[in-house]
Amino acid sequence: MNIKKSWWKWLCIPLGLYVLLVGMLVPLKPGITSIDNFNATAGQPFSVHVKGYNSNFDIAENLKAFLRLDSSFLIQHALIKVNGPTDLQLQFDIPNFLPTSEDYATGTLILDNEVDGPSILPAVIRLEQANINVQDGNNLWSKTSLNLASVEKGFKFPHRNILNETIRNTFFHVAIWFAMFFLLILSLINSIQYLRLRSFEKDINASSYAEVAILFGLIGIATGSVWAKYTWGAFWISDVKLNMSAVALLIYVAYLILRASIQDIDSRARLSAAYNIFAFVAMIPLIFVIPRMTDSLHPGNGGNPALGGEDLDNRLRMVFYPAIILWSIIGYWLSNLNIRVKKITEQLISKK
Amino acid sequence: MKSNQIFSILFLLIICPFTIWAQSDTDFLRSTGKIYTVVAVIAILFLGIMYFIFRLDKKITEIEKQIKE
Amino acid sequence: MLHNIIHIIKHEVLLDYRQKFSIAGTVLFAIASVFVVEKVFQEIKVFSWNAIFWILFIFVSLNSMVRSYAKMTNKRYHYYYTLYDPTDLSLAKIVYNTFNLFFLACVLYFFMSWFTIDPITNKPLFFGALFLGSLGIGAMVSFVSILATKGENSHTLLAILSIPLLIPTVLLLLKITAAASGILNDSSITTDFTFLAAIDLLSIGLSLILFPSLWRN
Repeated sequence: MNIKKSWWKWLCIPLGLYVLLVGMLVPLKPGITSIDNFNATAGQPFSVHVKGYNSNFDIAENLKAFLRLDSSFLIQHALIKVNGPTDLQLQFDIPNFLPTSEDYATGTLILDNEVDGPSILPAVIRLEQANINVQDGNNLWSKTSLNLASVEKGFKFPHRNILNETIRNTFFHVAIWFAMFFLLILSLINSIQYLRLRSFEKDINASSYAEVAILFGLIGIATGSVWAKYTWGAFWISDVKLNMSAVALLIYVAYLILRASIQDIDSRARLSAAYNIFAFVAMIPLIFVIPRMTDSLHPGNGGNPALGGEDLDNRLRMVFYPAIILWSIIGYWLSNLNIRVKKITEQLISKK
Repeated sequence: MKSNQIFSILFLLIICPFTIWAQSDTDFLRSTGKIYTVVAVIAILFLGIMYFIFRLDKKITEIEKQIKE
Repeated sequence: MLHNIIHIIKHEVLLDYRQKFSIAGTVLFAIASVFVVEKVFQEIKVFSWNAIFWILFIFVSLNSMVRSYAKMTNKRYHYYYTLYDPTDLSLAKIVYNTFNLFFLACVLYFFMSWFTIDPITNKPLFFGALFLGSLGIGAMVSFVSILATKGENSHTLLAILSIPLLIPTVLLLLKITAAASGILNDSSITTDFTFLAAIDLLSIGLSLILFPSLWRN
């Protein structure tokens, strides 16, 4: 193989190693996996057992815990007992009144120490109050201020509640969708070129790219399904993003069926090119517009609210973008092989 | 046995343990921060690409046969 | 151009008037389905009413659209090609199909509300959605039906090719009808309408661009 001509094939090796090794070996930031008490009452002590992930409660000094309400209202812990590196017993003395005119509020748990940095469990604790006094509540809850150690030690991926380690799926599941989209664009370009130039080569290209794109789409749906089973508890739920990706896949399977059902080579190429263009443009509102209109459980849509930003941070991006390039190259390579096989078959048929 | 059949059996073999593990809350795939879900995702990805390579292989074998004739 | 379009539409109407049985067949199909729905659901809820209405509408429109191009015999195909510009022809087709579908939707609504219940409280909203929906579905299905008639087993092919394309439109329509029947209190109805109109324009534009390349043979 000529290295100068096929450098992009060789690029797969370093990229693949980088994505697999860095993507799988970089540890997650410390976080909170679970707590055992979700209900607190105003005026009573609230004790809770916290399970951490990747955290070092035993060697950390200056352990702090906060219970935070909606915006700036928070209280600090009354008691902390360390049971192990990932095991913590906390107690808060909840003030008599909450800073709200309703009879309940939702609290966020924040842990902080100088080794791990802050870890957050957003909006899980339900606080109830019998008597309402907003003025006193405001005063009682604004005595402490949030001063976090905010250490950033080493290269780590963010810890997201519920997602945990599956945030690494960004490099596989999400990247494969992007690669699919890259292939669909190539297929579209070839279909447009076919309608302009009427060369069969373009038709073969378009169909081969679409085939590999469908393979990637199926992989995307299967991987997403497995992930959903262990996150949402079902292989398939009725969510906008899921429905839309399934519909997009249906459209392209219909494209292949259309190709299979027309015998005449010339009209097959013409009609399938037209359908390809139509389907691609019809898919734009499907994939980009409608999921953005409605709320979705899917990560990346505000399903995991947290203190620090979005589901995709700069460190994830350092692996995510190479992963997109990697899967796009692999998709391009696979379709290239497919194209060559198809062309040879065509030549053999025409020779006979 | 055809490669398609082999693949569907392989797929079932891999999917079945997942569904069994999924029954309890403290199962294997949810342990260690659900890292094994990521492993399962990579396995599916690998199987998908392997399926495509097998299919291509079959096509090439057919071409070779035709050339020999 | 406008003259040509009106001429083609007149021609289509005349043709359909001569073949009354085919339109009557589609209407009968709609009535029979509504009757089945009435028998199957003893007491229909508003949400199911909306869903069933749009599902029936998809099938009725597919049924009537399959006539749209299949009825063209080969001779007339060439006659049309030599006589008119393909853009005029496809525009005329879209306009004719839109009104055809709108008529069928009204018929369907009439019988649905007669046999079962009439949950629609906001009638202008509902008929507006009905019209925009007919426009979008008409444009998409009349484009796809050209593809489908060229393949084998065109009736199945039409359903396979067009149903995935129709899903975004139908989802939007479902949302709007839910709002029109008062079970969904949504303030973003205007955005939904804009989206519906955008999808309609998109599909009309695409069929106008792509139709000439399909028409040439």
